Amino acid sequence: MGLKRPFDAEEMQECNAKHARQLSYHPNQLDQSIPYHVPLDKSSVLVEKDLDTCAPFSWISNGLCQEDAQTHSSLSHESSGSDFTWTPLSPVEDVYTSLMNQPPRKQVPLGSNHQASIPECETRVKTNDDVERKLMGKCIIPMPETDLCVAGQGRKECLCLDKDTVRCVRRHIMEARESLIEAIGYEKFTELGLCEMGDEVISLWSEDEEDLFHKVVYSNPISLGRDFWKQLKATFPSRTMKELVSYYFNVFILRRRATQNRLKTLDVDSDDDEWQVEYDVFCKGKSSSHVDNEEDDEEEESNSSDDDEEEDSPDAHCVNMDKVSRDGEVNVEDDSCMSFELQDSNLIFSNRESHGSALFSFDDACDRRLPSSDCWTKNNNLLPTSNIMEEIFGKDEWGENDDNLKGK
Amino acid sequence: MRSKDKISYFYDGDVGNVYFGPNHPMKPHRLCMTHHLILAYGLHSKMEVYRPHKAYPIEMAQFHSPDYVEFLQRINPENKDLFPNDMARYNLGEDCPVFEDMFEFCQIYAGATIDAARRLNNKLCDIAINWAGGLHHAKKCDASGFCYINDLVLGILELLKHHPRVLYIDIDVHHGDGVEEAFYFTDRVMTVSFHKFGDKFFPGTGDVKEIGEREGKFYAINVPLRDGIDDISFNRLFRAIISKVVEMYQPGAIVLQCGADSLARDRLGCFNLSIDGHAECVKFVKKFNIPLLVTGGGGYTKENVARCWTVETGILLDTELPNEIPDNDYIKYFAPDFSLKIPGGHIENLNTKSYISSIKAQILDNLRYIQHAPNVQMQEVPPDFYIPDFDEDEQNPDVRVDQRSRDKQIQRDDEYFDGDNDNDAS
Repeated sequence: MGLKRPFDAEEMQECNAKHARQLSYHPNQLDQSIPYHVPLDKSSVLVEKDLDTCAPFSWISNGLCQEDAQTHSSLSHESSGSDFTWTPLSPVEDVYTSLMNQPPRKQVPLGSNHQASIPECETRVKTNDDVERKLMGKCIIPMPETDLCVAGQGRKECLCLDKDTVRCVRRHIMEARESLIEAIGYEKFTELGLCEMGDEVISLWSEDEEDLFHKVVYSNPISLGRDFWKQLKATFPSRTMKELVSYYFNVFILRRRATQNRLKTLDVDSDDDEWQVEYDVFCKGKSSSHVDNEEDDEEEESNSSDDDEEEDSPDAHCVNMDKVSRDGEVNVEDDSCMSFELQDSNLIFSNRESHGSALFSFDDACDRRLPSSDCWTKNNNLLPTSNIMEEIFGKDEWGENDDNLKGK
Repeated sequence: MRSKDKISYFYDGDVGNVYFGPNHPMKPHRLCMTHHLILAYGLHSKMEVYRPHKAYPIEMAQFHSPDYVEFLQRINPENKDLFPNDMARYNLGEDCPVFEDMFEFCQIYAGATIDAARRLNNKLCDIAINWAGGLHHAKKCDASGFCYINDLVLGILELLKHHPRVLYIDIDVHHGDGVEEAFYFTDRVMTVSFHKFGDKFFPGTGDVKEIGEREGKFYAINVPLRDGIDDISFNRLFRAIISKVVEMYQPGAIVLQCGADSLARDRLGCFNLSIDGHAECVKFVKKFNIPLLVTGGGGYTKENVARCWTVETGILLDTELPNEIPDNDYIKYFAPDFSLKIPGGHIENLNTKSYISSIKAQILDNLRYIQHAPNVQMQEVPPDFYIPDFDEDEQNPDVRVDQRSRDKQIQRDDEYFDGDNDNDAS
């Protein structure tokens, strides 16, 4: 029944597959599907005819977003269409009549294999069984007595010299963790699962294991039909799947995300498992030779890469093969960029002396010239819905929204 | 407004460390991100935090068929190829892959919703939150749409032990078919679902004409919508319908499924709601001051899911959250703005005002029948008089175990078919 085919146009026809999404609304669909104002079955001939005689798609699509007046006019336009044999009295009645004539598309299955059996209702309050008490969850943080804690503090402006670098971010994350531990106690911190989030997970893995993890992922790209998860399980037989997944999301993806965040391109998708593949492919030619040497020269290389990074100009950061993202604002010289990438991939593959120095190197690899604010054009697309809401629903319901949300 | 609501919040760290598979859009890791963001905003200081118990198979069998539950417990990635027929029968393998620790995952999210319902029943809290729950597609005998066990049905069944009428509201972009189907015949649960409908969008049910059957006729409400609905239209419709429903139906408890795939720019969804628009629904339902169980659901753009459910947790706690996301382990995911706001959607809004009016009119019209329906039992009914229309003999005897025996069974750790109540179905 259920089919999982990502974004395959043909599969979209099968509504049993949840994982098939309509990416765009195609003009030709209007001809065969329901009209924009009536949720009718495709088998409705009247309606199809109606559409065929309508104005072209561009008009319809404009009509769809218009206000009531325009919509009414579009309806009357339709009524005067040549093949229209049925004239609605009003939009509401028109829909109602049509709905009565058409069956629903897909029936709700009925029978003992489908419906639940409803328990009886006991109106008196039940005394608390011990059994039931156990099955209501284990309390980790009880209800506070007083409301002294101020909740909802946002991120403060950071005054670090290396503001917005990976190191700066890491430092602030550490500070946030520490203050949370202080607030609730270490035991509760652990019970809430916070010891297994973020970079903390690194402490559960050795350096060798980390390198091996990265190697396995990079050399088994999904685009080549390989499943790195199978390889990971084979490579780490002592690790449970949960540990592998935890490392993947808490360390691997986050590090990749750190790099992605410092890209020029806005097309960042941390769920795109293919992204790393492109990264690897781009580096493959150069990095492979280095990978061979890495075990011998690892120390030298990481040291030299450190040196190189310090020498490199801040603009030399280049990331992935997406050359489109390298616009004129970034002064990138191909040579330095390539060597930079090498260093980056070497960092990932090489055995590190210690976490500290390695992370330092990784940080520098990521922290190049930070994109200036005008690169993040996503800002311009933010919905000003709170203003609209205020307009429609009145200030007293929405007054709390926009102003108070900012800078609290 | 009454004095501050008491909120119980359920979370288990293990729920985020499962993986559906490469390129599968459902990523439970989003639950870690949500949880962490909630803590980063300090919201734990305003509510009780619980680790849920893991639901026992017998609890799952309050709704699901025992065969199905037993299969879910037994199947894993290593042995699944040995059971191709059963895999197909239970709709496992594609949308609903068999992955490592799958059953434990189900136990956690279902256990949390059941715990939440119990706490509400015992009046230990006013609002209970389980963001890991809300898997509304799962059916009695099979999996569907990334859902294996229907925690919502289990939670509602629990609530029904103490409340004669329960209202279910679903704002996931997909039709809440599993819940509707489970309660299609009964008037004790009113299901209301707002969803995208048409263009062969999953699951295909949810037409406005689906209104329930037999005693449940007029107790299922479907609000089918087109692509691109925006905040204003959605909220207007939501308010109009829900206020009428609550007024007419007078539920003793409300279950609200807050699927975040109705947000703009969702990987699978096609609406244009902002987080504020989505959260407005939560705000509105909270105002009724009726015991409320809130769950998650769909949501396939992880960082927006985390943002949305964090904002909604804030709303349930009457706490306004500043836009700037505080430092936390997952802050990198919230680039570039590190803000709670999300960019707007660019899908064209195909919901005309006349279309929405017509849907609303039909629904409000149907609601009139609730008062007149002859078989509606609005008062508490002594069990002896409740005679269902359908043939009880067709029911699976395994499912109908009385409460006392159930309690006894629950005491056993994960034992299922052993013991006195063994009904050998296989």
